[in-house]
Amino acid sequence: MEIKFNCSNPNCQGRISVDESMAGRSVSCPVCGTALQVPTSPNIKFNCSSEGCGQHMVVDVSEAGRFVRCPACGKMSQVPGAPPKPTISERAAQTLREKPVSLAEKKRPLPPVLVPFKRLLFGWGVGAALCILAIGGLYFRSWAALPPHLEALLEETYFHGEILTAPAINNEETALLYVRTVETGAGVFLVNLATLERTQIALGKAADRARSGSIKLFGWSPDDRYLAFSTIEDGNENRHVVICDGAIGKEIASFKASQPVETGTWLTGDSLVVLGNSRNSPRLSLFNVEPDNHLGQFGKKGLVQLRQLDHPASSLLADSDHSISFIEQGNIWRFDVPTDQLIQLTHLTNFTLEGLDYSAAQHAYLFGAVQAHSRDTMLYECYIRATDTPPVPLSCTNYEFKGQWLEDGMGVAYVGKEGNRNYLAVATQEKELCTNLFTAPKVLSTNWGRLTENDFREGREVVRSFSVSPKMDKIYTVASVNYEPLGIWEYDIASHKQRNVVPVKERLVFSQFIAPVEASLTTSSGQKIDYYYLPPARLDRNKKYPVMMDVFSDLGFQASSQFLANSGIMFVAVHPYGGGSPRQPTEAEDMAAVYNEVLKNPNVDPHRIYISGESAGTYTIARLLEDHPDFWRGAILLSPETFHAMRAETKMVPSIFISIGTQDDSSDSQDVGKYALEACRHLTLTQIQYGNAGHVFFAIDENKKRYMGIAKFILENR
Amino acid sequence: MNKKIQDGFIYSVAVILFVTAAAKIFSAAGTAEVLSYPDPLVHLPNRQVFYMMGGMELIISAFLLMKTEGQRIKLALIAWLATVFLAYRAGLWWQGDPNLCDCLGNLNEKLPISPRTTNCVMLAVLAWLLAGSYLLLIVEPLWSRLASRARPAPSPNDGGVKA
Repeated sequence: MEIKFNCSNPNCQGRISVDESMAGRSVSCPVCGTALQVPTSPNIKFNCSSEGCGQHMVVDVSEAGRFVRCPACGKMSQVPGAPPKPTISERAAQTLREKPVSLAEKKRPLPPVLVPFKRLLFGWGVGAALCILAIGGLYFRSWAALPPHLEALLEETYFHGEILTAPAINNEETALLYVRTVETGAGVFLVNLATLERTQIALGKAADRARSGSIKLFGWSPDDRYLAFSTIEDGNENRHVVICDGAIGKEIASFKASQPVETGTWLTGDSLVVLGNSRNSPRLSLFNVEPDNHLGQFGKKGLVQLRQLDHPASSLLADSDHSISFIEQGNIWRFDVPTDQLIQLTHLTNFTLEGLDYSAAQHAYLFGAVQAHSRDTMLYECYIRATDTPPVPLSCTNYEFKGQWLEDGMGVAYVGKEGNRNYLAVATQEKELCTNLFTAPKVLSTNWGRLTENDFREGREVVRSFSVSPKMDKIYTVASVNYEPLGIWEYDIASHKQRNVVPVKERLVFSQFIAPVEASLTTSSGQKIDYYYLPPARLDRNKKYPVMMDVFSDLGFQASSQFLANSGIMFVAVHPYGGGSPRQPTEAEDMAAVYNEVLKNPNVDPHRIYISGESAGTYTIARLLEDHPDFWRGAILLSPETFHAMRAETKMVPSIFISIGTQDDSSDSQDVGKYALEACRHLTLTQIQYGNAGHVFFAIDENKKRYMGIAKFILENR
Repeated sequence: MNKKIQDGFIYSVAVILFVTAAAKIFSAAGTAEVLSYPDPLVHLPNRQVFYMMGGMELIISAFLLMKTEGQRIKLALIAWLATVFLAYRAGLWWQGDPNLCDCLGNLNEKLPISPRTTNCVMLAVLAWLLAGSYLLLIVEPLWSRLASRARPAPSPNDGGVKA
């Protein structure tokens, strides 16, 4: 039998259990060490506390401190002694007593200053931990949703940029100058045609609207000592004219034109003529690197104003070392610099002229012209000594734009059009040298949907522009083959040899060029709708992918759609590949029809179809969100011009991604903010991304940010 | 037992308020243009409202965590705050705003979480604050009275009483 009792130390009151044989003996409390005497009896004796009762009661020592009911009066009485605590056997107590207490086991008390804040610190710690866990969890989810190497995919697909204008070639035909979009704007690149080494020699600001407005090339001076171009330095107007060393591209001189530069040409080895266009006062200016006595009153060094014109002009060229020609008001004009004489060479009425070229050997002009009330543009030649006679139309079949003399005026090159497809036509006197370049065969659909009967304007092979070398024996074409990015191709007319002088297949490790799948459908009303899609890279037939449907089409290779497809998003455009127009977005009805067709694709995730559009395309999006809000997981509005009207009863489900340039004069950022707030009140997720750009994002770095944002928006299933 | 429930509830509210306050202050420090628009009810810029509300929630959170005493005051404070939130939501609804997700500011832009989810979470939090505080404020006095009136008596055999 055991005797249980409590330690007499009020701070301890440990419950101790010892064998009955220990009764009356002294022991130490195993917890606090207080010397105790073991009770002689295991019972506690006391009287009922109720008045008038006093019943004597005997209970076990273990009942100390508890309430017990008096068997006589039924009232509750508390047993004397401290309430019981867990019992510790003497043996265990002995062990405890003998065991040395290590310092580490002792709890280190908090500094007194922190004691009142203990709960606060712990509570906020829990809160902070919850925040970190939640945020970390959400970011982990996002990270897991994104494909590996997304940044690398972005870098690779945008690496080549976009070639913006026709190249310029030096007189020796040893170097080539071209312009392409680069990270922070547009770059001028100098290519050594022997080694194909490229060097960036200048960087200009990206244009706000016109792609070709960023940088304008004026080519080399007749002796190849200098080369010149104009850029946008500040503001949005191309006025900054730069003259560089012709061999290495190092800047020698620069000046700011009084008006936005339309074009420029070298008159002599030291003199550059610049045509400035403004609505009120188009003007010809001359910049002499060195003084030139042959130019009379205009021969002094530096910038000289030549002449103010009555109307905006274009297509400036030097037809001798003292005169220039240009197109103004549908006619060719010639200005003789030393004599300050302006002569109207042609006297055409109701003509619109474009793309002037001149052959010094034949003394003949070449230009495209379209007569009023006529749809067909034709290529004409006009001899300088017989300008009173009407120009003669050349029999250039399928002429589309830009004619240039070949082989000293004995042949021509131009961009032709067959069906809806552009190609480069080379027409020479020797029939065996005549050829058409960049004429890819029709592409047949291999997947769902059927190819329309029409050909495509730009498809597998694309001709954007070209230049003929000064010796007129080679053609340098800005073109792409097999849906790849634009490159520059040199074609030697005599040898029929073509080579790629600005290649496009570089630095592809994680990404690939994805060829579009072209298709069409016929609506119930019999209308045919062309569309195409870029399937996700490394398509897994058992997987479903998100889709982005664009209301505009790609005009040839576009890094943006290639990046999206490489990152696992199917890109769909409701236009023929390469067709469409930046001013004509797809009709909402056509989008809805193709949407239903897209759903038939087994690899399409029907719950993750996004609609995208830029500028005027946002009208179509607004209508589609109004008519079919349930179609879309989200809408991507780029430089929006309009927004979907949200009323109180509107139940918006799609998420909204808005990308807008901070210098955009067509989209009001306040409207964007208000729309976002309104959408937020309708529980619509809105993500606004601001870019350092105007209405159109030309600079690569801003485009990269924009499309990385879009890819994450879609892949994270926002 | 009752005190433990109260303590647990107050503790949970303090942690929640800390989290929402942190979210509001984080949001207010952002650059979203929405932050400069006036709040439809308070007519102060959203940024100021977020800072003020975030600061207040942080102070209340600290107060709730600082001491273990004063349960009734703390519950009353939570009830007041929850009522203010409810009144704010009701006011916006009255003004014609069908739904709201301003409670976490523009956090939705920074975190991959939908406003619908945020709104649901915040509604659940509001319900927790309202129901918990009012329930405990009402139940606590009743509980004490009942406990004092019907304290469970030990059975006569408890403790093996010998006469």
